[in-house]
This record gives sequence, structure tokens and C-alpha cells, in this order.
Amino acid sequence: MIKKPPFRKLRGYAFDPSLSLRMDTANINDIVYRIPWEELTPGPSGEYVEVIDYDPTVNKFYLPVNLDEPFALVQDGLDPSEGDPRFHQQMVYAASMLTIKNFEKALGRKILWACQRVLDERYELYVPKIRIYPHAMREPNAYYSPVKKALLFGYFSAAPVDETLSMPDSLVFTCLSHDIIAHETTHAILDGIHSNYNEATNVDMLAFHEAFSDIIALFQHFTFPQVLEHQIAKTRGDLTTQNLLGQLAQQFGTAIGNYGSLRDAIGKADPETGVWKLNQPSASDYKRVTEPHARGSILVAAVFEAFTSIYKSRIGDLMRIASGGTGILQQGALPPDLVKRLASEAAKAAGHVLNMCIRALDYCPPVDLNFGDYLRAIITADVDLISDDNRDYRLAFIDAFRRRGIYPEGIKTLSIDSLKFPLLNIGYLADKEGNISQSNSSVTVKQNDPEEYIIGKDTRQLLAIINGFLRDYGDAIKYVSDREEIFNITRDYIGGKKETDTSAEILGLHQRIKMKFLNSPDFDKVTGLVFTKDADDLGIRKSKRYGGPAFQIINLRLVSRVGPEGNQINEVIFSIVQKSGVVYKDGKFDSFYTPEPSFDIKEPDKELNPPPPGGFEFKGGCTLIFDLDTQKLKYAISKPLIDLDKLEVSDKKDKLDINMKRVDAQYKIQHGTDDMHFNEFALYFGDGANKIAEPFAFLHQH
Amino acid sequence: MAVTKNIKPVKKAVVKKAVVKKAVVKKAVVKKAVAKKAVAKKAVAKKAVVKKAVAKNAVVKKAVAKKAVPKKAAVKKIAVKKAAVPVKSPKPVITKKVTKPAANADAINNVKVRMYCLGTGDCFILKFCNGETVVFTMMIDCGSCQGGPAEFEPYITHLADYVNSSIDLLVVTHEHNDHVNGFSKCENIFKDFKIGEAWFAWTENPEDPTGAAGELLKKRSQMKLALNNAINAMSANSVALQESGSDDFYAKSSLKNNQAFLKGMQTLADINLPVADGEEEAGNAGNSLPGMAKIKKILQDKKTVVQYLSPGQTVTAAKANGVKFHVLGPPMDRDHMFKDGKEGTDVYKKKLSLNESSLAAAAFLNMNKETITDLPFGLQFTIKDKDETDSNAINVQEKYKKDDAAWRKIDNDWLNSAGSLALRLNSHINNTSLALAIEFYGKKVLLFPGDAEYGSWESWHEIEKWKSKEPNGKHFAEDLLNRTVFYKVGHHLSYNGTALQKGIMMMESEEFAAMATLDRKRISLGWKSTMPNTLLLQEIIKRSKGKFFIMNEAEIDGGPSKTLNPLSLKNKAYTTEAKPDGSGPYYIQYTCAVD
Repeated sequence: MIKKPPFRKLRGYAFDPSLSLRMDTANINDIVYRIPWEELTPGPSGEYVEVIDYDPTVNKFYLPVNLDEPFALVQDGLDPSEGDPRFHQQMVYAASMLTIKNFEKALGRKILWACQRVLDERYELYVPKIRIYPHAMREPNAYYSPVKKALLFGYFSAAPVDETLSMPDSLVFTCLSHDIIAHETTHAILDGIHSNYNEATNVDMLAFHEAFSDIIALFQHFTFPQVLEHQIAKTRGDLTTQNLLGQLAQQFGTAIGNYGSLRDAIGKADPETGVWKLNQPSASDYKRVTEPHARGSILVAAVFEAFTSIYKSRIGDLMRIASGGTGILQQGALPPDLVKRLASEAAKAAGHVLNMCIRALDYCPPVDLNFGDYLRAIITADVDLISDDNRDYRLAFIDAFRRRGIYPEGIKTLSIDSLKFPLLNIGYLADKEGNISQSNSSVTVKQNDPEEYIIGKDTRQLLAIINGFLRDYGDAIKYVSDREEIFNITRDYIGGKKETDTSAEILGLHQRIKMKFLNSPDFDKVTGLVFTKDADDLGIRKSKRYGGPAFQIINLRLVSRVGPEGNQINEVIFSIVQKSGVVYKDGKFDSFYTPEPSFDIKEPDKELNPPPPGGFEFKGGCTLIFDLDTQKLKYAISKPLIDLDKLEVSDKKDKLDINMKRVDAQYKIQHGTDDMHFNEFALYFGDGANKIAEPFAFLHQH
Repeated sequence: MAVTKNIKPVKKAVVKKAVVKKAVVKKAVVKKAVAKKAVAKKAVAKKAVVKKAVAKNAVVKKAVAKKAVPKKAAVKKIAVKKAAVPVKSPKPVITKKVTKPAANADAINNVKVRMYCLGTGDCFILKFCNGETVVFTMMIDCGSCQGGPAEFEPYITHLADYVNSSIDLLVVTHEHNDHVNGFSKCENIFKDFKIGEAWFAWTENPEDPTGAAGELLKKRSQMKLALNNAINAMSANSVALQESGSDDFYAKSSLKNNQAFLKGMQTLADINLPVADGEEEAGNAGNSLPGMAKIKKILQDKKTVVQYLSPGQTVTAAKANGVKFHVLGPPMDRDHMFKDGKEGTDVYKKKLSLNESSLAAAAFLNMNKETITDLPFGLQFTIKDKDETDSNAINVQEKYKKDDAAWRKIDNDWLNSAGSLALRLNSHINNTSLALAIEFYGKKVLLFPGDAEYGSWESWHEIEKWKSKEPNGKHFAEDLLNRTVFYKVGHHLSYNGTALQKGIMMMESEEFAAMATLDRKRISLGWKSTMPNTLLLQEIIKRSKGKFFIMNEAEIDGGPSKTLNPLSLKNKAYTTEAKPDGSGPYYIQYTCAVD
């Protein structure tokens, strides 16, 4: 009896086929992907993805690869080949699974795909696998379709600017590029975590989607040891010179007429001469550039720079040792041992940076994220887990963002302390009724704990009750590893569940919040959203049953992480999203309307309640982070729907106003006064930037 | 810099004077110049230009009279002479005072540019006048995005009346419906026109000796066919989506998006494809547009002299003395024909840098065929219909075709490639626009670029013949742009119709005025999002100090009339005439002083 293997080995390209044709990179480009073993059916189709190789442009199916065939198993899958579609299937499977697994490792939990919305009482359905169509169209494009939960890859004929760079009219398959596959897979993963990030409510939103996908693809290069060592040797350890690690999609780039890769985090080829130059960060770019990819590359460059400075500080001692204390290396090739050590430091630093970027997702507001918020999320997530930043990772990030003029809004100074979201620490150890736990009777409820956000006693109690409920959720989900079960339990804890033979009734989180905070202006203030029953009309739909304003709970999740010092954090995080209908006339705010569902479950064919002319939906949201150990609400990371500044200075403490600053900003972005259309394609064929069902299909038009 | 700028017009004035005084004077001037040769060689070069222009005029006149003198021979002669004269030398100091051209009866001193307000689309009459006396009449294009023969007729009747059914020169810039469909919709009116001469771009020449025009036409025809197939498939899909009534949440947004996409496609089809005109039978998608075909037929029937012009050429016309028509575009090389600019420096907004969608086009062309010839892989890798024994093959197909997974099918997503194809075709045809700079007495310039896009604009600056033609070292194209006093805004004020650094930023004349053929009330739906480009609009308003006339300012925030009320312009520089039915003006007219 032989044990199940831990990995399935599959051959593939580290980058894309073009590098296998270059003498200097051929031997590092063919690598073996090690994918955690899972049962596959021909396609291949596994737990997370299913590859279906249908080519609608010729109306043909291509033969599916069977990776369980003995010959495939003994030689690590099929030979890399551009002419065999079955290798293409193997490649998309391997590269997408690698991305998914790396992501899960950093996130500390299983990833779920965005769910399928349906027009009946089931409302949302679990999507176990995304589909991958390796040959879905004939154009230089590949995209994630949020509608179909599918990755579509195109192929096209090359039209290089210089015929010595690639063969004109040769076929280029986007599904053979590791970078493109990783990028698109990340789009899908991010959509599963933050489904509102597809909406262009500000200039950074779509850019963030692009940047984040690029970051994941880039840092995945550092997980290929041969590639890393080769590039370290080639650059003599200096990763701020031209190297493959910082570049994305070489073949695609040259095929559509660039001088090199599609994107490069460190430098770029001069369009006139074709000579590579180091990028100089400039603050004006962030102010001026609006095209999502170009804007996204500012964020990518910032993160990459944070990485290189961390890497430099980590190898300082090695370089001194290797150079006899001078810091100046001898001419010629580096000794192999040094290369290995440098590579291992680079891999470590890259892993840390990647972890910081992925962890930060849990600390982001659910809507309307901008780069500044993301920086704050990175810092907060890191401070939370790692108390002693002895290598100054956080400074490296702050510095790299500062050099590009990316500053968060609403902070008074730029420091780690002010960048970190304010710690609220509301709550106390309590039982399910909100009473102080007997076992912790030594803890008294201090009304004016200086460490604590000042809040009314009632609301504190309510939050303690919610926290107790979240503990239950944490317990229920802690040891569940089946993704569908995670989905179902989470859904029940949000939406509630009726009693059955096998399980008790659950009163859902949604309902609890609805009932509890009807009379808590303090909770409005904490979240920036509206929960109080008799608040003025701000264009928010009223709940039929409770009379309070309607809202949506998303992304309930348990986060358990272990820090480098053995410390553990156990948090339950969820986000609340609320929308308000606003009407603009002649470029100015005019009135509110109440957004109603656009369809009725009973009559799905009829379109209901179209917004009035000039009306659009404005969303506010808040991510709440509860600490299960102390039972306190630690952070409320908010994009407020209401005007908190005004509330602060207003005499009438319960008079709520809509956050005009944010509404205006969204109006400008979505209604043209800021000219925010990402490309000509979208101008002609879009339905307005805010309503595109396939944003990435449009976005990736090159 | 300032010095060079000041000297130039002075010199031109001398030239102009020479022209006015005609052949007799010319000799004297040349003699004088020879005497001065040692001092100012440059002056000689100038004289040669004078001679060329005058000689040409003479030839043209002769040609009109006798139709016997071969034009080419005359031009060649001049070319030889010109080559013999050394060009490089220090600049002469000219102290002569500027004098106005003599008030001859036919000395053109103003041009009345009349834009007919047919809806978004170009239709211009230019009357070159001496005071109020018309010396020369020119027509540029006739088309609109919207309207049938009934809508066109009042305007075209008015136009015919205005020019007395007689024009000296007709220019047809390029084959887009918004520039040519008037010729087919009001065919009968144009049949009765007297047309002195007609100019087209070299790309329209069926007998282009290089064969390049033929190749372009063929490619264009293929692209049109492909596009037509794609649009048909998309409409069918849209209908199917509508009828399916799927219970998927996204079905509706899919349908909406599908319809938005189709709307965009329809816009491009309206402009580019003849079938959309409703006057032609389906299946002729690859043919040239009816408007273009009709006007060519009319000209053929009338035996009108037709010229196909190439960039770098300078042409003159009988009667229009002192006027030179410099041909800027369309570019001769395919690189420029398909080139895109960089956002920010070249154009206001980057367009797709999408290379030829040849592979997609091939798939569209193959759509209705039995056998498909251009598979990306060997046939052995496809699942054949007979593969019933292979369970893997069956499983994959079944998975895809399962009913409850219908929402994930991708049968039609690839059709969206037609969007890029259409944009590409559209911009390619825009770049075949005949772009003309009309220069008066070597001084003021009226610029009519058709709908030329960035690739064409850039090519103007690279015309070999015109390199450092100007004494100040500037390329002649740049110099022409510097002196532009009137600009017909390219492509209805969209972001891609006007180059930035190599275009609008070079138009620095104090007298600069502009006209744009944009009417958001009468426009193809898909264009609404691209026209006007706000940044370009504001830049032109700034440069023209409000002397900017848009066909209809409705729905345009911050239109030029907010800066300057056109009615306040002196000397009736701005006129317009309302239609009796109250549906807006027949035309908007601006008078440019060109002396």
C-alpha cells in the first residue's frame, strides 16, 4: 500500500513560452509545479477549478487532458508544447492552483469563490469551482468574468514592433503565461473576498484590482527557486536592476508591440530607443494617471520598492561578509553559496511582503477602497500580529508609498501610529446575555477606560452580546475544512436558520443587529452607517419587519493567525454595506430616492423600480473586527454613509446627514465630469462605467 | 524666436505682392534677386517659389482653356529649377514695408466658411471672396449620422441655391457615412450640379500605381464583411437572451450589457457599413458606401476632372489665385495608418493599441461556413462528432452543455472581439481622410483634416519633402499649424480626432477660430460618450478665445458661447439662418479674413 503523495508534479513554464526560446532563460523557464495532491477528472477538474477547453470561435472542443494517466504521472505531466491544447490545460491548471494555494497559505483559511446570485428565495448559491476556458476568444485579452465565475483566455497573432523580438503573426496563447493566469486567478479570488471592489466608485477601485493581481503574480516568481537564483546571479544580487522577477507577461508584451514585458514594476523600456530604464517614482503620477492599469502599476511599484528595501536591509550583512567588510563585491560571477543565501533572503522577504499584502485584505473597508486605505490596512494588520517590527518592514512600506505621493485621507501626521486604524476595544468578557462572565468576575466594566472608545453603556452591552454570538460562530467553523460546509454555516449565521431535526435554530447576525441597534445612535457613530429606527430619510430602504434601515452583511469569517513570537490572534470579521439612493440634477445633489430591489422573486421577468432620472446608488460600508479572546470590538474600518465630522460638531447629536463629500466624489467619477473612462472600448460598448457586468473584459482591452 | 516670427510674414507679403502683380512683375523681381544673389541667397529660393506658383497658375489656366498642355511637364520643369537653387544661407534682412494686395477684382481677401447643420457629420461650403464678390467656391463632404432623404433635402436644396448649383471644387475626405451619405440621399440634386474639379485621397484611387490603395480597399472590404457577420450574430444572440427569460440574476444585467454593446456596434456599423443605410441589400457589406459610390458615379458621368492626392503634394486651383492647397494626409505607409498616440502627450485619450484583429476577423468570416480552416491546433486534438467511444470527450461536452450550468456558457463572449475590429476599421478609415491645409499668400492657413486620427497627424510632421523647408528650421507642417487661423475640428470633437502636442498645441495664431460638426441631439448613440472630449473642448475655447462654433451646443457643459457671444463678432463674421420650421439653423457661417 503506497501512501497518497503530497504533491502532483506538473511541468510548465515559469513565465511563458517565449523565454524557452532564449538561450539565457531556456533552462530556468521549464519548471515543475508542485500542486497539493487532489483527485482530478479529465479536463482537468479538481476541487477549486474546472478546465473546459471549448473554443467557440471555431465551435470545437479540444481533447481534455487526463493527468491520472500512467504516462502523465510518471513524467510529471505533459511536455511543454504550444501546439498541444492538452498541455495548455495542464498549464492553466497548475498555475491557477499554485496561486490559490499560495493565497490560502497567506490568508490562513480556505478561499471561497464569489457566489451565484439567483432570482429565487435561495438568493445565493455556492460555487464550488471556477471555470477556466483556455481558448475562449481570439484577441489579446484574458479576463475574469464575475457573471460566469470563469476565467476566459484569448489567443491572437503577434504583431511585434520589432521583428527580432518575436515572430510576426505567430500565435500567442495567453493561457500559457504564468503571469496572466496568476493575475486572472487573483481577480477571481479577490472578487470572492470583496465583491464590491468591481465597482468603480473612485479612481483607485479598479486600479486596486489590477495592482493586487499583479502583486500576487509578481511575488509568485520568488517561489520558483531556480528562477530566483538565476536572476540573483545575473543581477549580482541587485534586484533594482532589470530582471525577470519584476516583470509580467513578456511574450504578450512583445506580441502587442511593446519592447518588453507588458508591465514592469522596476523600470521600463524607452518607447523610442527600446533601452531599459529604472523608473523614478513621482508624486504627480498618482494625481494624474487614471487608467486602471497605469494607476495600478503605481501601487505595484510601491509594494515592490518596499520589498527591495526590505531585501537590501536583510542582505546587508551578507554583502559585507562576502566583500570583506567593504560592501563592494568583487567583479565577476557571485559564488554559488552566496547566490543561494541571497536567494533565500529574497524568498523570505518576498514571502513576508506578500503575506502583509494579503493579510491586509481583512482590514479593508468593504466598499470604495483607495490606496491610502490599503496602506493603513497593511500597517494595522501587521501591528496586530507582529508587535516588534525589528526589521522596519512597516517603515519600508510607508516610505515607498510616500515616495509616490500616496497618503491616506483624514490622518493628521504620517507615522505608524496614526496610520494604524484607531483601536476601539469596546466590550468586555460576557456571557450570551451580555452579563459579565462569572468566570471573569474580577473584570469590572469601567465606564471611562482611557484605552476605550467612549460609548454608551447600552451599546457596549449590545456589542458584547454580538461578540458572544460571534464566538459561537467561531466555534462552529473552527474545525470545518470542507469549503461548501464553511459556506453553508456562514450563510446560516448571517441569515439565520430554522430549527431542524439535527440542528438548533440560529437567529442570524443580520437580524440580531437589526433588532439590537434600533435605538443606538452610538453604533451609527462607530460604523458611519444608519441603524437607528427614527433617523431622517437619507434614501435608505426601511426594513419591513423592524422599521429600521436596511443593510447587508457580507464576508463573515474567522481569522486565526499565529505571529512570529508564538502569539495568536482569533478574530471574527464581517462587513456591513448600506446603500442610499441619491438624485443629482445639473451636477448638483437634488434629493434622495429609496432604492428598491430591481426584481421580484415571484415575477423575475418584470423589471421593477428603475432609479429616477439622475439617480444612482451610493454605498457606505464598515468592516468590524471582533477579538474573540477579549470579546472586544477592536476596529471599525469605515467608509461612512453619514457625515461623521458634522455629527461631531453638531448640537443635535442624533441628526444624521449624508456624507456629501463621498457622494460628490462618486458622482464625479461615475458621471463623467472627471472623464474617468478607462478606454475607448468601454466608451463605445459600455453601459456607463458603473454598470459594466464584465468590468475585466473591458478593462483588459489592450 | 520672436525675431524669426516677425520676419516671416513680411517676406510672405513680398511674395504675395509679386503674385498680384503677375508675370511682368515676376521677371523684374527675379532680376533684382539675381543682382542681390551674393548677399541673400535665401531670397532667391523664395523667388523660385513665386515663380513656381505663378507658372503653375498659368498652366492651369491654359489647361482649362485648351485642356492640352500636360501639367506634369510644367511641374517637373519647376522642380528642376528649384533644385538648382541652393537653399541654405543666412536669412536676408528685409526692410520693406508690408503692403496689402492690390484690390483686384479677383484677389481673395476673405473666406466664408459655411457649415450646414445636418446633424453630426460634415458638410461645408467655402466661398473664397473679394469683399462680397465670390471668386471661388469649394465644397467639402456631405453627410450626417442621422436622417433620411426627407431630412436632408431642405438643407441640400438650400445649399444648391446658395452655390447656384455650381462649385469649382469638390473635396470628399473619406468614406464614412457622416461624410458622404448626403450624396446618395440627395443624389438628384447633385446630379444637376456643375462641378469644376474633384479631389479624393490617394487611398480612393482604384488605379493607384503602387497598388497600396487597392490592397487597403480589399482589406477594408474584408473587415467590413467580418464585422457584418459579427453584428448579425450578436443581434441574434441578443434576441435569444431576451427570449430565454433565464432565472439567473445576471441574465438581466447581461442582456443590458449586451444591448449597450450592440448600441456601440450599431454606431460604428452606421458609419462604416453600407447595409445599415437601409438602401442597400444585405450581403453587400464589403462594398463601398452608397454615398461614395454615388458621388464617384456622378463625377464619372459628368466627366469631371478627378485628382487623387498624396501627402506632400501642393496643388492649386484655377481661379483661386494666391491660394495653395497643401496635402497633409492620408499617410502613405501602413504604420501611420494604424498608429496610436500616447495619452497625455499625443492625444487626450489613448485609444486601443490593439493590433490587427486578423485572427478574430478570420473567425468571423468563417462563421457561416461548413468547414473551418484556421484551427489553432492540429485536427487530431479536436473532439470529433464521432468520438462517442471516448468517455472523456463526452464528459467534457456534457459538462459544458448541462442545463443548470447554462449561465456559464461562453458561446457568444468572443463576439465582443468585433468591438475591437470595428474600432480598428473605423479608425483606419478615419486615417484615410484627405487632410488639407489651405494657405493664402503664404500666410494664413485654413485647416481641414477630415477625421484624421493621431497616426495621420503624426505623419504630417514626417513628410520628407517638407523637412526644414522653413527658414526658421521648422518642419513645414508645423509651420502650417502655427499659422492656422481656422480649424475644422477633426472627428466631431472626440478625443482621437485632434493630436495634442503635434496638433492643437501648435495652433498658436492670434486669429485662431474653429468649427466643430457636433450636434448631440442628432448623433449616433454610441458617440455620445466620446463627444465632446472636455479637455479638448476647453483647450480650443482657450486658444480661439471663444471663436469656436459648434453645430449645436445643446448638452455641452461650458460651451464656447459662454466665453464669447458669436453675435458680438464684428463685420458679420458670424451669421446663421434659422429654418422656417424652427428646427434650428440651416447653417452656421464664419468669415475668415485671409489677406
